[in-house]
Amino acid sequence: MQGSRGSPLKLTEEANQEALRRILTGEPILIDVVPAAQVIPDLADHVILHAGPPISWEEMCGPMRGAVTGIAVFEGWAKDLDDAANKAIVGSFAFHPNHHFGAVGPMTGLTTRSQPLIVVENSAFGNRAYCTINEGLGKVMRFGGNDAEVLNRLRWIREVLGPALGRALRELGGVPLKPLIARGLTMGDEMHQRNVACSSLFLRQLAPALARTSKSKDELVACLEFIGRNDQFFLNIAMATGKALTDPARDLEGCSVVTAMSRNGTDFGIRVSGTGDRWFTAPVEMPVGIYFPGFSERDANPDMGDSAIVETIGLGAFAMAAAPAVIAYVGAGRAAEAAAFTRSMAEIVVGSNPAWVIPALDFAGVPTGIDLRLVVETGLAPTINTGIAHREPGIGQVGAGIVKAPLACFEQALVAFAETMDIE
Amino acid sequence: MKRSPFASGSQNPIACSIDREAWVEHNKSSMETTHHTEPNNLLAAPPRVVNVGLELFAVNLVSQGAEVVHVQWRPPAGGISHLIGLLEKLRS
Repeated sequence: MQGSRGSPLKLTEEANQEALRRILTGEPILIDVVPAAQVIPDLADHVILHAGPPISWEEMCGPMRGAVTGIAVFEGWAKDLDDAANKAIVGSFAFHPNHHFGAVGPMTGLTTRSQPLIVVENSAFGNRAYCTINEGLGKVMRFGGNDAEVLNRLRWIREVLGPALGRALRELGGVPLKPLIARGLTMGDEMHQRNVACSSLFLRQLAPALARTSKSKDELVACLEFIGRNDQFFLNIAMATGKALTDPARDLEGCSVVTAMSRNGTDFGIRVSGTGDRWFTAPVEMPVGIYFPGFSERDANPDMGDSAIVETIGLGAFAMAAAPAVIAYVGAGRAAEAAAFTRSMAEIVVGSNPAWVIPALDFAGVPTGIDLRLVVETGLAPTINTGIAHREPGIGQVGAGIVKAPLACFEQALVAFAETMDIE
Repeated sequence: MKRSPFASGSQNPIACSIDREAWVEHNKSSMETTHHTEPNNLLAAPPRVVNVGLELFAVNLVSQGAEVVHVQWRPPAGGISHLIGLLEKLRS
């Protein structure tokens, strides 16, 4: 092997540098919002995409089941939640990970044919990534909510907000996201549990086009109010950005860079460039954090969502030093300790991103390109900032915290990665 | 080549028994050097400690007023020999 391809070390170092180059040179642009089936033709009736690695109905946690029954009613595939659950039990729905279709979704992360999807194009490589529109905080479908209030909000997003955003974005010619995120980092966002700055900056850029293309004053006011009162509106845009940036780094021979981290509420899964699209999974861990009044860790569901894609590109907990305010929100310590999270994650990556810098670290770039070998060697598991869902379906978000990726995923991946290099 | 002070065949210096004669031979030069140096004031001055590995030791010393630098250290790959072997081969 060494005669034809060089040493394993040389091959991997070169492949990892190429993966890092592809991630850093990506140019994500938010270009449109369209119905899901328009950009993912495989989204037929009864097909449901979910967060995390593959999972069956029997293995799904409470909030994931709650969201599945809700979305089945929303799409008209069931007359009520009980009917939807019965249909799920007998196998009426086909479940697939978002990641298999170029998409990502927060928490339960359900994507179905009629939902409007954010379209982020990576203009440097020509690929696109998709994510649903953020519903807001509290009782929402991504946290397992499924009552009439949740479904009516989803209908309004489908029928009013989605088309309005699409018209405005097309009129603008798209919104470049790299500089927007760079600015958000200097304003205290880490793009996972704090999106206050980026949501505001995005709205400031979008509002004139939204006004010019709106069908009525009432519609304009409703859209502006919905985005304006949702501090996490930008999260889904950041997630699609992460997917658009990491996809070109997939499938590089000998590359030990992690291209996806994701959880379905039951399992945590990772994908590594050199092992293609194979998932390496382990039971997902419980977040440690702060609970909303009236809730405690007894109510919490294990961690969920494709949102760890933002940590995969150096944001979220990897950029904690940029967002000292978020450390209190997720209950991870004192503001002075925020920098330690970023420094710690810098020990398990290939490099840093000079376009996304952190003022509090003397403008150091965010740590980027998780190296599987370094995670296993150091035992430093990637840290993820996360929301916490109630373990029962239909209730919603009950807190926020941090969670560690299980090392077992990385240990399994290392064995498989070594096999691709003919090493046992 | 110096004879190992550890019992032959053992790879674990903690678990094996010590051959006293070999240990003296192994450390002869350093013992002689120590004998000729000035007595240090290690026990007369406040302790200054570098703690490696288990943080609990550092925490206890700090609580008693000692000056401690803690070094976060753990065995590579959690000490799992198969993974350590793979990492070594991947770095070859």
